[in-house]
Amino acid sequence: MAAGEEKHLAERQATLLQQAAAAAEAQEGREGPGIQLLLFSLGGESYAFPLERVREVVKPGPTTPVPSIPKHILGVMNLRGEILPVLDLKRLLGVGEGTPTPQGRIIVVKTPGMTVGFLADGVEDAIEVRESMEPPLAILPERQAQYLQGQVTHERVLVGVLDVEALLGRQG
Amino acid sequence: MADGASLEILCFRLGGILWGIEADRVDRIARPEEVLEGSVVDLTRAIGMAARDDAAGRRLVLRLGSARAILSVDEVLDLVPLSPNNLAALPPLIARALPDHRIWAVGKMGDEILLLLDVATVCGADAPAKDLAGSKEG
Repeated sequence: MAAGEEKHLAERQATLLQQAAAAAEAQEGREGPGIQLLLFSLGGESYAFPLERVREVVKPGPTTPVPSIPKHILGVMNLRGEILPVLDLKRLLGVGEGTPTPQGRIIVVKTPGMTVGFLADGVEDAIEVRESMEPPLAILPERQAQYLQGQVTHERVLVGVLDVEALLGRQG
Repeated sequence: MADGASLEILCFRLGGILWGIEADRVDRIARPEEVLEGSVVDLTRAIGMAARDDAAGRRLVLRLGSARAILSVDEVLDLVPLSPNNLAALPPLIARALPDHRIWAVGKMGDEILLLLDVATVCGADAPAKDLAGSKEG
């Protein structure tokens, strides 16, 4: 190969690498940092809480119902001496009625003023999603859409990311 | 009071739920077939419980100043001392969802939770009056 041709190829490679690096940087800028989520199932669909909001996940223990409160509040449970309200996410989202099962889990979620357990059918995984969050689909019923901060796609499955403040802000 | 720091609580079951009332509120425990003198208040529905078979279980006759109130329960369990360590406020989310202050606190009984009934609040609510004077219930 002639020296001139070799130089031309090297320059072309360097240019391509610069373009690739710029494209990767731009892509990262568009996506922003990854979103860490706790993925769980509810009525056959996938939902998630932002991982930073989740304190722990426990198996459903005895829950004491409290008369005269809305049905989506299952009652109170004693978690190592801490009295927690337990909410039925299925009822809240209008996708059925939650019942504790061996696969079911209570996802303990914290906010500055409140800690609450949410009953889910099962917890799947903690994931990091690199793509940006999209607004909830317009076809979703308002009952669900009001509690979603957005949607992401994980392994070709649409995941509804729940808005903890909206869920707790509309209680009581 | 059971001792300087504990509340003495009478525990009972109603609708599958473990409830408690301060023992000094309880005048006596009556069988369903007992004749109860005077006008009493039926608290069972007032605390949001479904109607139950009055012929079964027990009745708690409660003191409310000079008046009395009656609470039909499924089963009377025991008197237990409840220390401050085993007493907790209702979570705010639950307290806000209730129509009034009918449950003033919860007691921790192992894994189980005891709902502590505020008798004065429930009786101050629109509790349906039920005159049992001279009648034999059951």
